[in-house]
Amino acid sequence: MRRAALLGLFAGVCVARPAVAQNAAAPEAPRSTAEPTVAAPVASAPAAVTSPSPATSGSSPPAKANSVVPAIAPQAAADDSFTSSDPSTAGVLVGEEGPKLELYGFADFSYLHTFGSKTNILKQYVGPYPSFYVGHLNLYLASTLGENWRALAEVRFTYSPMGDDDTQAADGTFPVQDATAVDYAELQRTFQWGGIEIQRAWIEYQPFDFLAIRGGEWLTPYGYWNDDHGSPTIITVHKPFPIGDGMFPEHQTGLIALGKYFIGGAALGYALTLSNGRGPYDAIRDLDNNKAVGGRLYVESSALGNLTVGVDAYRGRYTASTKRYRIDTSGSQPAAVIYRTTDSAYDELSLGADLRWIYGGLLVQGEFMMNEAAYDDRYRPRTVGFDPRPTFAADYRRIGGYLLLGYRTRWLNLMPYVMAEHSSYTNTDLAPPAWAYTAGVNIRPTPNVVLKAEIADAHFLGMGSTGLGKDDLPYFGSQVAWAF
Amino acid sequence: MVRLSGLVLLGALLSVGPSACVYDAANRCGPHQLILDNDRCGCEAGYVPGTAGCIPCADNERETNGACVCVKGYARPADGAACEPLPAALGTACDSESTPCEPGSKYTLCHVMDGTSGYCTSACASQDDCDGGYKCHADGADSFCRRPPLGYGGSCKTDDDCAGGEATFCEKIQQHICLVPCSAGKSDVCFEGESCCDFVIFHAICVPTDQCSANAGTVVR
Repeated sequence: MRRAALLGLFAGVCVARPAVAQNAAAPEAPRSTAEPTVAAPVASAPAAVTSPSPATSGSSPPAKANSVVPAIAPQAAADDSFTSSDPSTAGVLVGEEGPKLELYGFADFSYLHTFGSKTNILKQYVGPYPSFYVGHLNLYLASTLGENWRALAEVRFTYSPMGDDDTQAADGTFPVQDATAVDYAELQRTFQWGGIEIQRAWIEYQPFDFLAIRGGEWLTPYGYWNDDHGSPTIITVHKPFPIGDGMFPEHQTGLIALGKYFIGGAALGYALTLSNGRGPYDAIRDLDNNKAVGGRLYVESSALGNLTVGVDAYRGRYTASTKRYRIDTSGSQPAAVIYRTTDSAYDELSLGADLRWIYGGLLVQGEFMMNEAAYDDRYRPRTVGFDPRPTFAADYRRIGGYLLLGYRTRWLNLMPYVMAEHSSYTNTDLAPPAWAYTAGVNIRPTPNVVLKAEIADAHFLGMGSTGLGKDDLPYFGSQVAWAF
Repeated sequence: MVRLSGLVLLGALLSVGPSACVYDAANRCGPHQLILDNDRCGCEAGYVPGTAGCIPCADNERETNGACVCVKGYARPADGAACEPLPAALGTACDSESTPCEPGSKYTLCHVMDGTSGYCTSACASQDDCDGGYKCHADGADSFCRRPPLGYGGSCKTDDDCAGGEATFCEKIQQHICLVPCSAGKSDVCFEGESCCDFVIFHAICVPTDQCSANAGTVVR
């Protein structure tokens, strides 16, 4: 099904082309700092583009704003029976007048092996058996829509919800989501369907070199990891705890203004955001009247290697509510009344600071962040645990961060790396504060292929309300990631 | 102009920070709540969770484990009803051979717990027949009004502190209270409405049935 959809997309647009050529040889240095340029695909391998686009930041797509895109992949189209052989009917998108769609993306294939005894709760939770899996298959759709206008969408194809076994049942089991469906096209045989996660979808207008305005869903501009999230770009196999725990929202829906101003050998970049904020389904609906605001400021300098220092902020309100109805009989005749009851609500503030220094083959990268929340006392959620007394979630200030050190050698284009990370987990009764240490190697045999292998150990400073932290979680992870 | 705009933006961004702090480390919980371990809030003594925060217990009630229970000598005639004085003869010690229950009262059944000793209660056909927090233990013709486990919810540091009652297991991880231990094949020790629950990390214990799976436990039959 997915293949068919892709074929249709290719056939309809007829401008698909391998993105491999876009990836010039480059280390994992993200676009935003390695070179203040655009035109790198998701792998963030900066291509040799000479015209800087100051307004773009690390979250920028590989904008080929003025690049010349072949109208069609000639041989492929000719051999493809789904496309027209008559150029006059091949579709307006192929012509000179229409916007050109660029398709590219990344994928990764991983192996995870956790260690520990059978009673290790985390091992049982994360994955009790060594497993191979395809983790990401992300497709980017970029288009220049005219002078100063462009658009980007990123979708992740995923096997989920197949295999989701995170929800407890009343009988003490974790029933797995069954994504098996009958294949009506194949004599009622069965197959397992997956899902699509829209990572971002925005349109941008850039009236000035130092200002671009985007509307839609975008990745929250903070630090480095969240923006440069493509697995060929990031050094390690797994993202650090504080990034995965969402101390800042991973993405938001709303407006963002961003840009970069060059001063000599340095550049000052910024981003200001206005969004729905965090919510149970904030990508499509805000459940309160409070809009979230935030932003990022960073300075890039090439005086001694590439140095980037940034600060980030986010302020918003989370509200979860349930839509209900009742029958109002106070009037002359019954009438339905629809209203909402709030389940949980809190105000939150996130602050972050980050640093990245690339000097020759050396990479030093760290992000440190804080997220605090104060619940509305009327809607403070209950917590669960072994405590026979009902308990409530406490207001919290959680802190976290990571520090990554690596050195890219010329030999095999190999980078040994170590990373230390911490997350205080004061936002949940289940998890105690955690530290994790990782050591691994990252090899880039070609600009678009990355091999990774690492060993890691996470340990906890306490038990948590359910004993989650009673054991360490050592594991081995490896991955091959590629950009296409 | 650009530099001025940059300064304005910088000021705007920085103003989002300290001026907007939402967290007060000295006040992490709601009204009538206090901070517990593992970043949780519990109700103050005498208060229990209500629809929005913690509310006080009523007269002749005390809080225990998040619920208002009747003080000693009182019981609810029905779930949700106010606490009333207990019938004097209910629950008194008896011996089926030497010390029978008081004749003429409602509680003439001596339910034997150990050998010939037990407590005075009454037979029942339904919960309506039971008083004072006792619950009807359905066992055909031998159904009787069962007494809540002795010692349940008492504070403890070791199992020794729970000795002498029926709640002989001291939960030492979080709350340090006495709970009723159970095991496979011996789940009938759990009070009515409770199930024997295995939380893996420690001894199987009796908990309200709906709290077992809700807290990642497995019901043991």
